[in-house]
Amino acid sequence: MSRSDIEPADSRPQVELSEMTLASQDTDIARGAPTRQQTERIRTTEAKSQGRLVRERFFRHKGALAGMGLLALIVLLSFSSIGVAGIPGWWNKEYDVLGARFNEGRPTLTLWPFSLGEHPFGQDVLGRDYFALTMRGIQTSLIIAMTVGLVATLVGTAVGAIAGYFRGWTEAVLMRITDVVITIPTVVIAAVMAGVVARFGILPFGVFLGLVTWTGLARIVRGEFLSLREKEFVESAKSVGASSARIIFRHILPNTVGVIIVFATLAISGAILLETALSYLGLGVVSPDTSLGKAINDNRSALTVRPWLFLWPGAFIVGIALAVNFIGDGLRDAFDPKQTRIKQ
Amino acid sequence: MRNKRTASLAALSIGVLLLSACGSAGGTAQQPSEAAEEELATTINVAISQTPDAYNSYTANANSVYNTYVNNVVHSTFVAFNADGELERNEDFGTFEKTSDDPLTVKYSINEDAVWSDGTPIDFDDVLLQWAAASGKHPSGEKDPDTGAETDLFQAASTNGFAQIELPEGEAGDKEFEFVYSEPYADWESLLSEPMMPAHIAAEQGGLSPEGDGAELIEAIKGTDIEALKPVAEFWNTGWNYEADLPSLPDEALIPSSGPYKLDNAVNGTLTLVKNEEYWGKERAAKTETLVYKTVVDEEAVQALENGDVDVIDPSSPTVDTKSALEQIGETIEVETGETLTFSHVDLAQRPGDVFEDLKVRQAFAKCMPREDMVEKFVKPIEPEGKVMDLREYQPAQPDYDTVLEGAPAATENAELDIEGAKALLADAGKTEPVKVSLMYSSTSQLRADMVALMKDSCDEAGFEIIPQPEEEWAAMLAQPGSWDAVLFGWAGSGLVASAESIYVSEGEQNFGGYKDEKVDSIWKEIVTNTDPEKVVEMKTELEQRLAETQYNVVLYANPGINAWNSKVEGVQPNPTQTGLTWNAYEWTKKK
Amino acid sequence: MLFFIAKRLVISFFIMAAATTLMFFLVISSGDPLSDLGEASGSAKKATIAARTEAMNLDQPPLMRYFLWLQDLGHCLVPGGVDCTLGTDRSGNAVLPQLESAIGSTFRLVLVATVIALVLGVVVGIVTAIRQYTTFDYSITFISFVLFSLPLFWLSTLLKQYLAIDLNTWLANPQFPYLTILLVGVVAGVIWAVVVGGDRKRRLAVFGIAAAATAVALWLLLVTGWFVTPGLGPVGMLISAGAVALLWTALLAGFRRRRILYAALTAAAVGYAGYLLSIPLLADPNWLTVLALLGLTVAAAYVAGGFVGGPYRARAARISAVIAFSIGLLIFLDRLLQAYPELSARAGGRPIPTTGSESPNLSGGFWETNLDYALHLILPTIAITLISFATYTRYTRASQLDVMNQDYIRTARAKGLSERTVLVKHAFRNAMIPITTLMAFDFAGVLGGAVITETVFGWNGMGKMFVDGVHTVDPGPVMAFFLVVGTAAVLFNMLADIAYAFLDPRITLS
Repeated sequence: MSRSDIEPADSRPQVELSEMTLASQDTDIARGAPTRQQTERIRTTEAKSQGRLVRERFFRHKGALAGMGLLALIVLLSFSSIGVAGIPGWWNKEYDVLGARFNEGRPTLTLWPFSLGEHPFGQDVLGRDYFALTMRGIQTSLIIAMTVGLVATLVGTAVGAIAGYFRGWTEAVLMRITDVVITIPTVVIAAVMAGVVARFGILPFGVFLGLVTWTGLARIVRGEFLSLREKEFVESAKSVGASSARIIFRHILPNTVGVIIVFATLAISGAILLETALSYLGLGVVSPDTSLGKAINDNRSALTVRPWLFLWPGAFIVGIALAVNFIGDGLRDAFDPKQTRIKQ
Repeated sequence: MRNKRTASLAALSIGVLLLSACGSAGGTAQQPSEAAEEELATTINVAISQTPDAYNSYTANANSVYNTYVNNVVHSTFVAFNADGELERNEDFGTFEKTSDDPLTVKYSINEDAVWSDGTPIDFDDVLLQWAAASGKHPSGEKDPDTGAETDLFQAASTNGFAQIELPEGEAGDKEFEFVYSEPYADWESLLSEPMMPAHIAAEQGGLSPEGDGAELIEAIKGTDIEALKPVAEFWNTGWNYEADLPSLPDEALIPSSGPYKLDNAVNGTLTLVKNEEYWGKERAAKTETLVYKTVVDEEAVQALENGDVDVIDPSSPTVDTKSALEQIGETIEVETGETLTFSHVDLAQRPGDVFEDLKVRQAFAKCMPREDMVEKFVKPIEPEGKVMDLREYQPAQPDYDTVLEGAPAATENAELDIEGAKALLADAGKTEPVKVSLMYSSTSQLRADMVALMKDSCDEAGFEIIPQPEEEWAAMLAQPGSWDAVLFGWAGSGLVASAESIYVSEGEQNFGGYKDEKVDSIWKEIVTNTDPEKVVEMKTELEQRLAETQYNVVLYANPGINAWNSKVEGVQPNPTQTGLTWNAYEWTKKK
Repeated sequence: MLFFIAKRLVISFFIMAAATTLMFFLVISSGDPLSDLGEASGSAKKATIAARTEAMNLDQPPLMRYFLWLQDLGHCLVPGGVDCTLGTDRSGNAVLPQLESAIGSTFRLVLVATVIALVLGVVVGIVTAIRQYTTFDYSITFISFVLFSLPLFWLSTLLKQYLAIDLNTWLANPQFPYLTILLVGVVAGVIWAVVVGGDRKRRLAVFGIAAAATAVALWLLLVTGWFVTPGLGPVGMLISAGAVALLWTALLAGFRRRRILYAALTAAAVGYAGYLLSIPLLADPNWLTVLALLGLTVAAAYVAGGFVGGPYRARAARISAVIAFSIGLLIFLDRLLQAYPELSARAGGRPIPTTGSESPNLSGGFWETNLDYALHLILPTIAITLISFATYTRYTRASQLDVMNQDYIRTARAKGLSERTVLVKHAFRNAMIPITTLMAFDFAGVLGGAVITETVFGWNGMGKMFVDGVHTVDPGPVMAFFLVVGTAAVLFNMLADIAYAFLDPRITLS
């Protein structure tokens, strides 16, 4: 289940990549504004900054683009339809308002001719609009997933960076802690405490899940740091008396940004699925709040009777996870061009 | 070229059409013969939501409905609840009658042929052990750290009734005995509806001789020999426990049966019962060779039935989709719905200073409850006959419901949804601001969350402000005054006369809201000591009237129940009580 | 090597010790173990509280409870295992017997699912790497991402409804309209055409052959009643043995060296002879007999193959052994399937169960028991496999691509080695190195995922033990579950490291 944990093995230090970054830093930042002559030189050799290279490669990845599009669409749909934080959206129904049921709560969505109708995804047993409910579920699930991504990335990076840079006792202690947490499968450690944390709301819930899923990244970042700290550019920064903080933030961290971003995306898709799994075990988001995982779990017995209640939220879970996974794939290819090279 | 291609395309499409028209390949040639249909299957598979955990279901730890499901057919008792929710005597096992009212005396006699499946006769030592275990008269000498009270050697689920019975007179091997009550006990008739355990096993395991029809054990109990009884009690408490999730059964010799079936084996949570060859009775003799209990959670039960993994299902908390899903399967299964004896209600905190201290506020809350709507949405999709429930001690599934309802007019007074009336009552009570009500319910139940949403929708209009309070540990919080204003949950009606006393009397242990009414207290005092079944309805009518007048709580509806079985199975009769569907499993047969 | 293992074991021990401490305190602080008793009253409540307090040591402070649990655990670590119970659950029952009963079914599930996912994932991953940027590659990428994005229980519920129940109904009267047979053929044809690739003409040819072969095979299976009484039979076995021999030869050696081909065919003959000879021995064997027979067949084929192989003795012998092993598996499968009609009849013509891990009261022999296991495994295995498959495919593809861009592969090609030799001998082995780590992670992950799978499919395994324990705040079962899962995680990580060193000679263990 802990799919994001699986990430580490093959993302080994990227030598070419770091040197390129260094070069671009030299031109753009270290030497200040380029003189006319230098600009000329750059133009003739068409040197590209690391960021630009990554961007270009990313935008060539059709799957990633499609994923971006799909994710943007889902985010836009969920936040614009029912609004967020008190700002009303274009959809005229609230997710928590009860009403009369029309036609046994069947969905009114028709594709050809396209029309949403009164209740595009139907209504639940209380006559709540299931479209609004699903949109609300998407919002919750996305907020949880983003929080998980953010927290896991921050913690994982911090632990990995400190351990990899300072080595010695710090490293030993931090990595042993990582080993301990990694020994417990994510779903197991999450399941034990989720019931307690979920009561405090979705943000604490997301933070909690983030706090149990950072271990994979810590290991990768540490590996990166271990190899980068021996590089010449770090040596030279040290020799001119740069502080540890400066070396970490200005020199090493930018070179590991690839793996970190890739991890963050995959942590997000992992979190969506983890939230679903916990909801299934009855340990997730608590009503009256809802999430995609909770929605499908609550409507498990409706599969053959009112399939739309079970299938719509499920489709959105798959949609979001799929989009995020494709984006992650695109990012990996963009940061680590080795894998996309066409064989000879 | 072009023509050729068009032609071949046309030929291909014609070919496809022809193919699709001319049927299919494969299929089984032989049809099941007529004769085979008449034969009976040897096994019936029953789905239960949780794995049984003990052979002795009368201990506090194992007193669950899932053990009852099994014990229904492996233990014989003097009485049990039938499909109408009424007591039915089991003449196969024995007979009993009241011989005196003062003191209340009941004479029992066990069938002469009644034996455990290991051949030992069922007689006085079994009865005496049951009495010893349930009477609470064998102090262990240890103090409960919380209450300071002395704990009993036997951890019985309940001492109701038994505690009032004097030490029964009798000798080893007696098949007849008398229970003499020191004070009257209303439910004397159902007293021996719980299974009796084999005393010869408990004696042997407790280091006493099983010889002489259990004479040694009888001596120890008569003499209240705590030292000798201690190991026996220990075995009675835990010795019949199964290992969790039933990986296997205890030694066969430890678990003899007194019913139509006996325990045969258990594998990985699946329990197998086989016909008890030693069963003496005619009426309840098992008709199918083997009964298999499979643990299947509610949500998966419908698919398991559809796929034929199980033959009979009894989902403990059906959803509004369960029935439609079952009906969609078609003719291969049969579905029966009904109202159970479990009912949903909202209890109200009414101690001094609480939100519902004022009767008018309680009545206003009752008036704004959309009860019809709830029945429409949560009951009728499962049980079309379902209706709003107005009484507390009688459920609509019981025959006396209507009689009592007629005699207690107050019960229907605040029954109609009346927002304006509720507003007026609140105004009378001097409430100008919306009355905030923190309404607690189980956070793991979507049904409860939906019900609260409906209540909020309606009562907020009437001048309340309901704040939903989902709690995972709601049950533990029930007894903590101040942690909630109102709480939505269910009570399981037992069919007994006096069992609900502690819910309604002042300071009663299950009177969570702090309700106090002297008249109710005195009516209860009469009820629990009354031994005449004829008078019960009259007294309870009076009770219902008073509870309604004082608006003890808001009763909503009797929970709907649903049972479904493979249509090849015959003899299944749903039972609304907690005895459960298997109450008559000895009668079930299944066509091949 | 030994030093490395010893060092790792010591470190692992301390990590496990820390992890169990963490888990224990998390579990006992996750709720109130008496919370379900609020509704109860009277003596029942008191007695239950007393019983539970005794079983769970609730009268002790948390730290003491932890030490008591450690003490229970200690009993199991001491050789001889006096009083080894792993503590008691809240009803006062020893945890160890529960664990022993639960562990079998869970490991069966996890092991089978991991092996199938690994084999399928690696094969498909390599093919996608070889056919990079083809329709096939894109389709598999897309499919694996979709599978990767499926919530496990959502998928399981759909599988039950639309695979098991409908398939069972179909199996009661297995027939297809001719149109369906045709369509299946067309789909199979398209897949093969895309996999094999090549120019237009070649793809058309592949499409035609594959489509026709599939459709005819399906038709034959249907009309011969294979779905009612499945199995290979003597003729089917002969054909399969030959096909297996050719397949392995093509993959491992090519057809250029005739002697190797002859050796392979000899191995097939040995395997077939083994099939005929073993019929009486396999009536109701046990695992020992089965494994001994398999070993015997492989050894015989090894010797015979080496003898026929002539100048390529060693290689021919190895290939022969592989072929004999494959045929041995086929024989096993064939015998297993012969138990099908009886089991199907027992289940009322609905052989694929949606719930449980084995049938009760099955008094059959070796084959019935194991086929019964297999039938119960079908649905959960598919669910887990589909999701793990995605991971394995993606990683194998990436790893294989990585390797194929290495200089030594270019060198191998430049030397004029055949594409087959380059892919199988040079690329494949090196591409497998990172997969070992993945496998270690995945096995532990799937074991954790068993929590969900077992609940959905009504298995009484370790996952259920864990979930029940979490819900009732009962540390005994939860910790027992964690001991197994945690140990598996630690152990498999270590094994992966050792395997790493074994596969990659550049790494030394120290």
